[in-house]
Amino acid sequence: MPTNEDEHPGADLETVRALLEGAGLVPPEDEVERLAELYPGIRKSIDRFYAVDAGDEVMAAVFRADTTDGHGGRPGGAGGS
Amino acid sequence: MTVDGGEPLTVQSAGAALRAGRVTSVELVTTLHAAADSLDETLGTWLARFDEQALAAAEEADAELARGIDRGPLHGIPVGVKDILATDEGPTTAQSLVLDSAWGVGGDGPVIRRLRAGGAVIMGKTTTMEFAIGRPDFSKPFPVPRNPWNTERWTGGSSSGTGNGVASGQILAGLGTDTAGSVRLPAAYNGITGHKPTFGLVPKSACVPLGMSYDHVGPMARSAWDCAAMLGVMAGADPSDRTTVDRPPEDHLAAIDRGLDGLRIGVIANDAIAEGSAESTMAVLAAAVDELTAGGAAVEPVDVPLYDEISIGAFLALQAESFAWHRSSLIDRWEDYGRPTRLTIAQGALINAGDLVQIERVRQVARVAVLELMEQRRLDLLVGPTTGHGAPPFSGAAPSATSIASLHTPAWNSTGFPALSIPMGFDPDHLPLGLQLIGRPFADGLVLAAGHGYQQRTSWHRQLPPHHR
Repeated sequence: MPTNEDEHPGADLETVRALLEGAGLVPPEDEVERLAELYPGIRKSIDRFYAVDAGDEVMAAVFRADTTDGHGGRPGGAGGS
Repeated sequence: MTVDGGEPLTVQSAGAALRAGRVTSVELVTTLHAAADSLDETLGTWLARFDEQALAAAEEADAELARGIDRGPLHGIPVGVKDILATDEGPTTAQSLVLDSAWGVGGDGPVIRRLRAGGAVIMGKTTTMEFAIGRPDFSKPFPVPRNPWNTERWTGGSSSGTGNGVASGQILAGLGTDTAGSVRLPAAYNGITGHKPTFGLVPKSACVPLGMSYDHVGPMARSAWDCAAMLGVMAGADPSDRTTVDRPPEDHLAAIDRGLDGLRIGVIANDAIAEGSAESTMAVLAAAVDELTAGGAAVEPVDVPLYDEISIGAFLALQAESFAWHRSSLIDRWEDYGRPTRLTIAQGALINAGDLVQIERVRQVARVAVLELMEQRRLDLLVGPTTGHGAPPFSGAAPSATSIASLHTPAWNSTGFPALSIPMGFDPDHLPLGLQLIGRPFADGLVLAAGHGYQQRTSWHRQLPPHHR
């Protein structure tokens, strides 16, 4: 799958800097560059999850309105969420 | 610490010796203190030792046994605690300059309280990777844990000090935590046994979180028997951790001797296993599987559905979860974090909300799919190598030996299933390799019994490293 890097050299650096700044992080330039090197691989890893048909009902987390345990109910089954 | 014949002392053998009056808990603790005095500078096992408190607890344990009070298999047994778990004795550092010294002032969480109630003697806090993530970091003022099989090699992380402490004979057992393999990896690299329990079986409160829905607190020891003894004390719901599941108490030693006969075991055959492993590791695995078969188990190859997704998904999601916990500190104290740690956690800022939702949706789908596979094929267990290679060197490692692909543990943090690592042999450099056994949810007792059955037929778990007392 194409990445930003494939499409536009330098785009990853700008993208990563913007994402970090949006999160309140302003690392030294060499560390932004290191994260930008990693970013295409991260995107590639994430994109494969969108290729899985998870159906219409599956949720990221189980939420229940009738519990008082602070996180909306115990995760479904043993796997957690 | 060894007993007559050079066999390593275990929780099981020490307990028998205590009850037979052949040794006292004070003698055990004193001997292990001497071992720590001798080995810690080389191996970097300890962040804090509680020598006086441990001796006092040992004296109490001996006095109780003399009065006929027996608290069970951990009575008088010296154990270590990874320094991301709070204890009454002192502050928790998470091996970081960043963690607020006020964190954990409440002292013991439920697992530590249960260990003490079970008679265990807390020897101190063991080294980790900073915040249980990252890599060995020589730039910060903390010990760098080293492998007792070869001190130029890493112990694996992040339950590093507990791993090398058990392997080198400084403690008989200890606590680790496991978010993507941090109990099982140091168990494999150090040649000991480590168990990641089913998610929800053991409370993880009073533990510095990494990935809240992937974190597990688990036992590490010489043998599966010892881990079962630890788990039996540690397990059970607690209101301080609402992800724990309220289940009837279980004696994880009750069926420990069931053996391997009749077990149905799937050998994980996904391409990722062989691609992430050395040929020599796969040969050692094949011999281990033959041993399971010789013990009466029926084995067959299986492809685990969505294996690649749940493996990489654990790393991605824990980065997002850890970023949520660390964001404020990263903003204020970026330079105080070690570089490997901050660059790992900061990747969580590069994962958007929709991404995390989809990763977690796939996680739910995969968990059900793996369970259905095990039910349809009537499989009790899955097995594979814990890692694809032996412990990597601190520098100059081949990329294949240090890549995420060489770690075969994180899938089971995604599913939450119980997973045990036991020694299965050595690589060509005579570094230990681990066999991983995975069970269905809350079948921890069966997983540990199978590990014990294997260890009754083999001696890999009794091998001692060059750096051992």
